[in-house]
Amino acid sequence: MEGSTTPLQQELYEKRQTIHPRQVTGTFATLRVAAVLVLLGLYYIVPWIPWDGRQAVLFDMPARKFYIFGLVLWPQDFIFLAGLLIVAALSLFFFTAIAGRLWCGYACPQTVWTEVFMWIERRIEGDRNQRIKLDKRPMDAHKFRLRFTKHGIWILFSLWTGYTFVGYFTPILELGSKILTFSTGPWETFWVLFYAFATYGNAGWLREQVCIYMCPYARFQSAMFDRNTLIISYDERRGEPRGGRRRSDDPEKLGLGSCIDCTLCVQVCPTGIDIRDGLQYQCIGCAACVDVCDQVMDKMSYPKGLIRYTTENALESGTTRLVRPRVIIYGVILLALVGALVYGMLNRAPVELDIIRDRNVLYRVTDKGLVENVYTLKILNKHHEAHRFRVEVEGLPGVYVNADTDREIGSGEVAEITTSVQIDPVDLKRPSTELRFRVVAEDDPLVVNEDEARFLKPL
Amino acid sequence: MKKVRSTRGRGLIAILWPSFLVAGLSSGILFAFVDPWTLMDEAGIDAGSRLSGYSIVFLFLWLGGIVTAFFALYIFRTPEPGANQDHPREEPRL
Ligand code: SF4
Ligand code: SF4
Repeated sequence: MEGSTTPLQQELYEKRQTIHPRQVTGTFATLRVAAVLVLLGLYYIVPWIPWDGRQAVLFDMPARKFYIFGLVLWPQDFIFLAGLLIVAALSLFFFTAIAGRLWCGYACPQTVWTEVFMWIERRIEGDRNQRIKLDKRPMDAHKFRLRFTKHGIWILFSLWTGYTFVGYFTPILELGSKILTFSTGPWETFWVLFYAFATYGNAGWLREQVCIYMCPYARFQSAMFDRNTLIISYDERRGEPRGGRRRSDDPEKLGLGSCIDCTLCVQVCPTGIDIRDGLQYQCIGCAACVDVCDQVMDKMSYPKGLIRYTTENALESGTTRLVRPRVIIYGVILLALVGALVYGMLNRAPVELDIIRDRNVLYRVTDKGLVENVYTLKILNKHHEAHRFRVEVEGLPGVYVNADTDREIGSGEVAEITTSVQIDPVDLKRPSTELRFRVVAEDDPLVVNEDEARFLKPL
Repeated sequence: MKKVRSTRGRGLIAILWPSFLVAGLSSGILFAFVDPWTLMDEAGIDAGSRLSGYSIVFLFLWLGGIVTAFFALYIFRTPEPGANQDHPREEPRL
């Protein structure tokens, strides 16, 4: 099918060409660098923060406990984690409806790590033009040295990133000393290398292709957009007709708009698009083109903002409505969810109780003529202190409970307590009666939980 | 030449990447309810540590996803009956 490539193939073909974005300075570039420093700073520092003799933030997979500062989450609290993720997703929706792809431009890990990788690349290989030249140059000692240094530093940085990542899941200090003595477990090694490789591949090689071909958010974010969403746009009415000119020329006399067609906005774009062609899904909203275009406008002594943060409505009629049904709906759902989550967290049961009936013997009649059922109570103490627990049974009068509760259950410990319940048959009206079990800490009535189980009698 | 390669590259991403995401999500949900110890015990695998349990199950799920995605793509690109096998028509774009 030579000669009749479809636009899509054409696009695929073109996208494979390495993009060498030119370095930008300016308000938004500064903002992004600040975001990168804060976010990556947090990422690399947080696992080193101690708390109460342990790591402050540790998703301790081996022990199946998640520590987030003072908070300890158990597998049973999975619902909160799920809730947290849903809240995060909804916030992203909410945020996108108002501010568009601000997330992409400043906070996405892909952007943040790519920014660092590009910075390293720039330090070693120079800015755009030098890199393009270097690309074209045949391999020689000089090129090899530059490439070697770049990839070497990238790989070291990636390895450190992978180490940090695994440090969120297994104590980072221990992991560090294991690495130094080459005694990490096979899976720890695997995950460090895996994450390092992913960082190196995504931030070093794939870059904008992650956004264009892999990122699910990039695909569905347009569903949250409307005409009042903040976007980066070229002001066509002001810019066109574009054309080169001297600084001293009066564009009006030449019949030209403000765009001097310097193509700088294309050169700085990390995804290699021309913002002047209109809103495109490849645009990650990084505002590099805004910064560079403002500098050009300054040099030409034209007003800034030929490319700027704006909304479709503002471009057309000059007004933007911030509060609109979409924003209200997202906002209300978000608030409700956050409320429910906080409420749930605060009222989280400090003990888990699971009741298992003895399956082999349904009931037994004692010497005294009482009916006895035996249960195993699985108690998980999620409270941060050890407790001795008392078992109480409600639902019928004259219940005798015998539980071997003479042992303390430590924080985070699960204990199985065999509990026998005896009831006088005259009190048992039906063959099967519902009983309510309560376990309560002897020294703290707030550390308590309840569950139901059936009590059976002979027919 | 380059054209085909980039299509393949995208095919590879389409196979590896969504299955990775789904495997991550499903292992997360699975392990919220099941302790890898128990799981490995049932399966008769001597995992050695919980971490291996997590990893083995995750990689297993990922592999499952990869096979599914590959199969889906394979079905998608099989030529219709009667198509000339020696000169297949233009590959469906992935
Ligand atoms: S498109 Fe996706 S990967 Fe790229 S910056 Fe935006 S969120 Fe990140
Ligand atoms: S068009 Fe502008 S804002 Fe969009 S990705 Fe390119 S440089 Fe960034």
